[in-house]
Amino acid sequence: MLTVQGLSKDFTLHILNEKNIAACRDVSFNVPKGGFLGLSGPSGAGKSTVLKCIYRTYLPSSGAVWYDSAEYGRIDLATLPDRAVIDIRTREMGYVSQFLKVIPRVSALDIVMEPILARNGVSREAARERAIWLLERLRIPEHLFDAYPATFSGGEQQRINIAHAVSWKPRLLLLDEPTASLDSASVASVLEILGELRQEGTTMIGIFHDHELMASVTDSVFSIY
Amino acid sequence: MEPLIRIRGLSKRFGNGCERCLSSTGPEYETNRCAHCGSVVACNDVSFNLYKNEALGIVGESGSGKSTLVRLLHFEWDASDGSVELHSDAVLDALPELFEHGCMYSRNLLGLSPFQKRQVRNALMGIVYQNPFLGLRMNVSSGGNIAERLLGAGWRNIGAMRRRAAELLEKTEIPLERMDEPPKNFSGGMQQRVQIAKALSNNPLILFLDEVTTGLDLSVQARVLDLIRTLQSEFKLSLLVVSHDLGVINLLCQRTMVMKYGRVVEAGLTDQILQDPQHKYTQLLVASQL
Repeated sequence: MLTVQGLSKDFTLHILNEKNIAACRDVSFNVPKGGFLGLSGPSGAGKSTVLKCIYRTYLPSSGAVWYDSAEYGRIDLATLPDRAVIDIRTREMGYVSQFLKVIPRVSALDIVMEPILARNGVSREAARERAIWLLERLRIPEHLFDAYPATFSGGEQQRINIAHAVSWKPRLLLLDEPTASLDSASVASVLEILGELRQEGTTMIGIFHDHELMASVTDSVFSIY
Repeated sequence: MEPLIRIRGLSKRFGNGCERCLSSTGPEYETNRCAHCGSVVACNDVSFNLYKNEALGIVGESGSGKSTLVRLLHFEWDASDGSVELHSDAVLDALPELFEHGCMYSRNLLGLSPFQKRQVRNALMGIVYQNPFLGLRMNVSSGGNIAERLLGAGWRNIGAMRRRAAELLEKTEIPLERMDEPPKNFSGGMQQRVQIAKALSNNPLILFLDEVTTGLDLSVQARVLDLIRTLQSEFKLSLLVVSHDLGVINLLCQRTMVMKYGRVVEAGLTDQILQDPQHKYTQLLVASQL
């Protein structure tokens, strides 16, 4: 489903005397359809860099990211034109970052409903139902549904972030520390939701701080040094 | 999907110009004023596509040419060079005379007569300026401001125009009992929302937003941004969002172009521009963000 081949990323900082930072070097791995790959390695090894190169938040410096798209067939995400990347992000590829980025003063419920409404062509009522179902599963108290996430605790924000990213059932899901800042009960509900997504066929790549947890949810782990 | 609008080589020069204007201006010379003849190269060779229901951001400092670009596309100023073409799907029914038989894209809009340009603008475009004084008549009622635009688009029935105005003001959250008040009585945020209502009155396909949240306080800014997002998805609008505020661009736009001294120095996905900027100027811009 996804084959990363010799992926490298360098940052050239023109404003710091052309300083060069090599964020990851010659990374290669393969994720089969429906699989769940964990990325491990010390802080600064380039785990997030690899995810961001796949999502194309970073422009890979060299190498290829072959992806078997439902819409386009086999494509190289590393060199795909911007418009096609947007299309893949809209229809197939989701990303859970460590931070929540939302318009201020939009309610938690609206934030989670938005991607469902924008993509799946469902009614407002159905989108609302699914969003409420997800928020409940993620143990967000009901009185927060119509509140603004900017005022939430770190753990609550992170769960809104996860609900937002998984609500539309992406085909490929990239997870950057989705369970960092969560208590154990919330971690369990996140893992349960991820497990259900996998059963429905979602392929995943994830970074987890907790090695035991990573070993328990993924099929295999790739180490980056 | 084919672009809704194709822009190629769009340029604007103020002054007589000389052979050395282009080779002595731009980011590498840190000026847009030709040292030899004094002409100003406000924007040069700008090419991009705008797709249906897409929000494209244009960032850059004052004088980078971003507002010039909007004024050229809105036909307020005449371009020195370049072409602007519309996809036939969007406008063939409304303006069949723009299309050669069987062509997917229109003739170059920049070559149309002033009358035809006005027609295209009335049929397709809306604009919201940073300064509401540019977009609104401050002494005419808010409803009247919208009616004026509808008259330009060919509406004649007063009752229908009034209903339309009320509908738009409601969408932009202006209390209906204030419909007959002139915008000069309103706060800055309300004036901006009346401007948005006016810009939407002719059901445009393309909305130009020129620094629309600059100068608004933060609470009002959030409300205007949310309104723009909602309206974009409801009306399937294409937005060209000009701003020097990277936060605004980040929330509204999937793709972004960065301009400096009249040139596009970088274009890409917005998150890539913000997290992995390639050009020296973009790196400086991102590193300077609060």
